[in-house]
Amino acid sequence: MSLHVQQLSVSVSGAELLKNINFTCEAGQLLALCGANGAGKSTLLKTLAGERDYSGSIRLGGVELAYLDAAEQARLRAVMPQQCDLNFAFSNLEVIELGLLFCRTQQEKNKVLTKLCELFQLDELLDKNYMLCSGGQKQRVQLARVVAQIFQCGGPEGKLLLLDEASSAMDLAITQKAYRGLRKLCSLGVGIVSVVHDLNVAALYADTVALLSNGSLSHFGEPAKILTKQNVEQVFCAEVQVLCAPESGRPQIYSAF
Amino acid sequence: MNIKLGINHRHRQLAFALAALLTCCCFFALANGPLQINFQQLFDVVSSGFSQPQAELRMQHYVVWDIRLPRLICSLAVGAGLALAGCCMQALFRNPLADPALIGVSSGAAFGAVFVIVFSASFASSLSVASHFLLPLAAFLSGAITAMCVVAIATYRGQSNAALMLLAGVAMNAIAAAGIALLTYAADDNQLRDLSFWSMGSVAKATWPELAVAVPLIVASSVMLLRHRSALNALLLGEQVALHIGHDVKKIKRSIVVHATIIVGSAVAISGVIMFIGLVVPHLIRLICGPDHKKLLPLSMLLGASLLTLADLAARQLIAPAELPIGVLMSVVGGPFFIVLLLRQRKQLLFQS
Repeated sequence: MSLHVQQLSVSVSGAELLKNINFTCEAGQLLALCGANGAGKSTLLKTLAGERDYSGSIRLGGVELAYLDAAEQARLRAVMPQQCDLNFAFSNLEVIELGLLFCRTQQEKNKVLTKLCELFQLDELLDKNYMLCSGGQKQRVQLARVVAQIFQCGGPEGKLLLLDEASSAMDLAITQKAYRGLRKLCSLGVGIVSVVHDLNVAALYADTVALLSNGSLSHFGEPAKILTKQNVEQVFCAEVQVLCAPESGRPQIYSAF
Repeated sequence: MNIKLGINHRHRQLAFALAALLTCCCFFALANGPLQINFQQLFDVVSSGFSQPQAELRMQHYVVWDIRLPRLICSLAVGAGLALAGCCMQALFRNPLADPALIGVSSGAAFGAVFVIVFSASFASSLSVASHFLLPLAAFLSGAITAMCVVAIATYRGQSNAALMLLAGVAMNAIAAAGIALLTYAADDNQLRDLSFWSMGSVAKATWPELAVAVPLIVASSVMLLRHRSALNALLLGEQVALHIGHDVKKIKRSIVVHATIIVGSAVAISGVIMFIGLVVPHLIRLICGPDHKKLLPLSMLLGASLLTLADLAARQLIAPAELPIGVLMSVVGGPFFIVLLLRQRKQLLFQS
């Protein structure tokens, strides 16, 4: 199932937050949304998640998003928010289980959870108290919850994941594990749209990169073609150097001193 | 890898223990008092129902059916109902400090009930039967208005703030107290005696006609709230997140506010304002069983019913033959408990971003 966005515009109280956005994310692709602060990345993700009114068209598997109710949307896609606060002492396992609204039996739930632990190596985290975990561990748990949601209702193939800075609090190793897990999901046919702050993470793991600038899509395409010195300097208004990493052939961006 | 979801040993043990506790409480509530009734007599009296008893059990029959059984049913329904309403409000506000009395819903409901008591004299006397419906109805309506005001004040864009919630509760309590004071001023002596019971709470005043209206309401609303057990867990992550998971959040929120307020309104109608059950009981169950509502809701109802029945027993025995008002007893116990809760949560509340 693919995500088609056509002429998408969002304005709130007269201010235009997104202007005429057009792109497609096919099933099995990881699309990284990048841009400077305030460019509209989170707004775009929230609109795709159904939180904002919009003009234009967002089609999930051919169906217009505005015609789908909360339960129908939940069967097709899962959303990971930037922050998730919890004031009650749930274990991480219980938090992950919260995503499994459509699983009827305990067996179904256990199947999903086993697959998840394989994908993201969560075994040591499961019994811990969510409130006592670090920011990075909480993000891993939220990611697991969100991925669990798309494993319901006949498996993850053709479903969509919307991630709002999934790895902002994760360390190097956990980020690597998380994105390797996401790439495995892509090979299972999941489409992923992820807001990514770290351009090098986007360069390394994404199939396509969308650069947002002041609410419009300024560049869209493969990382090697899009993440050039000229484009990055234009969008981020900062001096950078771009090298090509020898093993992966992907661009690596570092800022000038 | 050991996946442990669902009900386990600890929950089952607690459920059995609470059920046993409840049974014992029921027995002692019926057997104890100025007229001691033993098990055999109790069994005979209860099984003979409303019909005429044997001559030697007439006294026991009267005491059980006209005094102790209504009192027991009142404390069971109010205790279970308020505990359940407390759980649901804590889920709605995403904060373990929410309690129907603290956030002003109980005194809002009391205002409605007091209004009916004071002004029912000016209604036609034919309304005396209707007053059994009128009282819970008025309590529900004014409780509902109060609940909606607190939700509206304390919630902004799907996020609710504990401080705002409690402050809104302070405001609502003040307004309701002022209203009740005005009505008290307008009341005659007979009504004054009735009114003083509202501020102190009592399960001894409930009569069978009142129970016949209030208890089915509490039971029906409890059943409706129990349907939302899984949804309440997801709601704790935030309304937006619960929506993304696929829950119909608007409908669930509306249902919680309506049914919790029906419960609180009915409870206030038959027992006056009793504070802290909705705070103490869910907290105790969470300490043992965790916050999963699938276990929390039914276990809280069991413990709430037992707790209030025990409190009523204590209220009867502590200064016998006089009786302590049960609301006072609950506040004396619940107030310090609330302080302990606050102290434990202090670090988290102070440094919440």
